[in-house]
Amino acid sequence: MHFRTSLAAFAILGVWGCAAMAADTPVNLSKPASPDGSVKIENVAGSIRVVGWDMKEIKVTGTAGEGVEAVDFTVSGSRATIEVKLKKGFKGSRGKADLEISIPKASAVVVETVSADIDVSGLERSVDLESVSGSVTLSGRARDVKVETVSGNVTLKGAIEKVKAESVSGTLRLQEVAGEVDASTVSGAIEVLGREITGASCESVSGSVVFAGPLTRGSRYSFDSFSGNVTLRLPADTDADVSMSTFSGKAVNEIQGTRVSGKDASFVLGDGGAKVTIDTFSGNALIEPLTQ
Amino acid sequence: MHGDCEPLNLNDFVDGALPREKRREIARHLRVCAECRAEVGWLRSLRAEVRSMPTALPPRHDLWQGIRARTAAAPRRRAASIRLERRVILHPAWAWAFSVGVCVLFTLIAPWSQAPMMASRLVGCDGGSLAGYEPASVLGNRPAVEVKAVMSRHIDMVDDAIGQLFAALREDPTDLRLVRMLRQEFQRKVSLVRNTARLMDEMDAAVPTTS
Repeated sequence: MHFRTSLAAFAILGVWGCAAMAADTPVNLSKPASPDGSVKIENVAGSIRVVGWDMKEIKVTGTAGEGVEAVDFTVSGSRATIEVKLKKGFKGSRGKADLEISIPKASAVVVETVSADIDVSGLERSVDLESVSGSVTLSGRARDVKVETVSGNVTLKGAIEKVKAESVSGTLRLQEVAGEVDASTVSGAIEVLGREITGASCESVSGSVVFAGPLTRGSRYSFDSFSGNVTLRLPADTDADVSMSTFSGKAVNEIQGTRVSGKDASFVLGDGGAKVTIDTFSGNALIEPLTQ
Repeated sequence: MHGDCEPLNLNDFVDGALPREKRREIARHLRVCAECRAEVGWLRSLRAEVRSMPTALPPRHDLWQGIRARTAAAPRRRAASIRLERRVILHPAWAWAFSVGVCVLFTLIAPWSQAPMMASRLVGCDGGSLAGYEPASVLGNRPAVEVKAVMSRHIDMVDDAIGQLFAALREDPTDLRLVRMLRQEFQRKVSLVRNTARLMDEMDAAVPTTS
């Protein structure tokens, strides 16, 4: 009886204690900033949402967990840094901060996290995002985008002029992108769905590579995978010079119905123009019509 | 490197895995073939680079002694804790009093913790990438361990690809496409090893030394 009563008392204490600990500290900071300066953001865990806006100000809102010592926000000339600093010696996963940061849309931004997810939108200049295991999402019209993760998935959406995306095991999804694409993984899949892609280099060791969209005359597109399959979905009126090569996989062109296995195959689609090369070792290579 | 050179032998040559006669033959060939000399140079620099990477990260403390000390002390602690549970903790009056006391204390402190972060708290924070990050205490060292495991698994994957390419090259040593793929995979491996070391450094650098 004593045991049960004591247990009940401690259970109530536990629930109350958890509720008290879960109370995060609100963050609400703002400073004037250059309309086209650089912004560097660092956060270990939690989430970072960066939004481009028309104001000449940087605003940081959100919550910081109990393990966060401070959100260090400094502006020096045209350079701003926002860094989530953690307390020393604390335990548990309360060192996370969930921040929404509004910055001038013409800013060049660098975001670095360990497990924190990154979400960026509305920016028009260069964007450099790096996370170890957090997911990365970017949308908008950024000019020059560089993304790097170890296991985090990457989703990019929008009229990006130049993209360089790398991951070890994360999936790279580039949707509705335009411009130049450079994507590489070890085991992660690569999916590129483009509108006006002016050049692409996609390579993986075991991840599959899927590219869908029209090609630009005179541009180069190369796809390499060791054991992953490579699939190109091209419009029926594509003009391209294609070179497919696989060591032990199958190479199939369903637009022209050519099938090669273990050999090189070169052919011209339409009047030719765009240069396409597909190389695999054991992965299959497939070109098929793009269906809307 | 041209068609009559044997790329496989160069790797074995650099690895010191060839019989003496074959080694001499390749050494003679290297004197007249600049491309193979360059290839051997590249393979040697690659080996040196990989060898210079750390092969193990020793634990910061003497882990085993700590575990042994704890396991040795465990039976005594267990007996003591049972006595404590019976006499004090499990007594309902004590439990209720303790719980209510803690609740009251938290209620008094809570408003302080709800205050927004003030500018004064932000002054004096020095910069530096992930300077306050302490993986050992924050997430029980899991990120570093997980990252190392992921990278290690993928380096093995690249090694496997390299192995398959070597096997394919044994079948057809003149396939330049395979040689190109092999070079690509070697470069990828070096890049992965470098990235692993960089990530480990970044995570470890922030952990203050306790000695």
